Amino acid sequence: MKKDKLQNIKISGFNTPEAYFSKVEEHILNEVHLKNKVDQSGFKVPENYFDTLDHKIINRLEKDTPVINLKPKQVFYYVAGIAASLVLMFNVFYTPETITISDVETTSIENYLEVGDYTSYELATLLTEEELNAFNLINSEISEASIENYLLNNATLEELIIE
Amino acid sequence: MKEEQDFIKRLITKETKDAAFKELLKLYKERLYWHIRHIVKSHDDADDVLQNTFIKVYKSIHNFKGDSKLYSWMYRIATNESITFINKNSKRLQLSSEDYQNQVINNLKADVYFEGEDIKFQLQKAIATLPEKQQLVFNMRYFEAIKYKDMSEILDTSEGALKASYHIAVKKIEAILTKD
Repeated sequence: MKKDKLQNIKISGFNTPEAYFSKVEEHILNEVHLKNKVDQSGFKVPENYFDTLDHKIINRLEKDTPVINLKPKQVFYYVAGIAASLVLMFNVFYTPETITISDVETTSIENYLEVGDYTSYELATLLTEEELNAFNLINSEISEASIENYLLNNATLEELIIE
Repeated sequence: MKEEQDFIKRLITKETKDAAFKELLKLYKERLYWHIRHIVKSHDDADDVLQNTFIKVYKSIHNFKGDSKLYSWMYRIATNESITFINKNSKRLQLSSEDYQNQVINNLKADVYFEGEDIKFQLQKAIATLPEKQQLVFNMRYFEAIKYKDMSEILDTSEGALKASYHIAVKKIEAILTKD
């Protein structure tokens, strides 16, 4: 019996897949034949294309605004907000004409003041001191004839006796 | 590997992101351009897809898990963007993908960025007859000389299957060109 000495081991133990050598030969030859016919794609690029590319991409990144992902509920609030603003704007800017105090009937103002629970003091607070002076309420001189007329028309005899 | 990890860290960190991205552009713009160009064929389309690819890389770099190399991740994005671009265009033009590809190849005759030699045109025509995956494998190996190991990561296919695919593609193309 031979001993397992190095000089006695004649094979490496490596093996190849079936028909490997015939296949590899075919593969190599096919590729060589094809490369002999044509080995380039034929595509070209414009001059300086790669030099300007970096700039183009960086520019696009700078221009790109971040996309905000809105949740459905948020979208509803945004839309509702915009709609409400439009309605308000329409009301404010498209009212046919501005209403002034002169457009309101005097009777309506009188009725309002009569029904409203205001004291003369409260009414006075709405006016400035200058406006009060302008009315000249305190210093107004009322003629005796006017007082007589007022009393004759409005006061009853009983009221005058009591006073 | 450590270098790549540091580079990815710079790409994610806000302060270093822009400078690192410029380096990334410099490193990969030409390789990715040719990869895309071989799929979409026209220069203008390749330019669009390449820009979209880099913008996608910039915006989604924080999602890069590091399971594969940055290089193969970017190639995957470029491949997907190119295929999506082709599908969108053929849908827009209401053409089958086969008819769309024939149209694109025929356009090459008048393309100023395509060398007008007949054999190169015949080669492109022959490539267009292959199934989509075989076209990818052929272009990546024949023109771009990408290693099977890297191709395997990019296309998520075993090296053995890729080699077989490539040899079949070469045989078919060689047969078409010999016949013509």
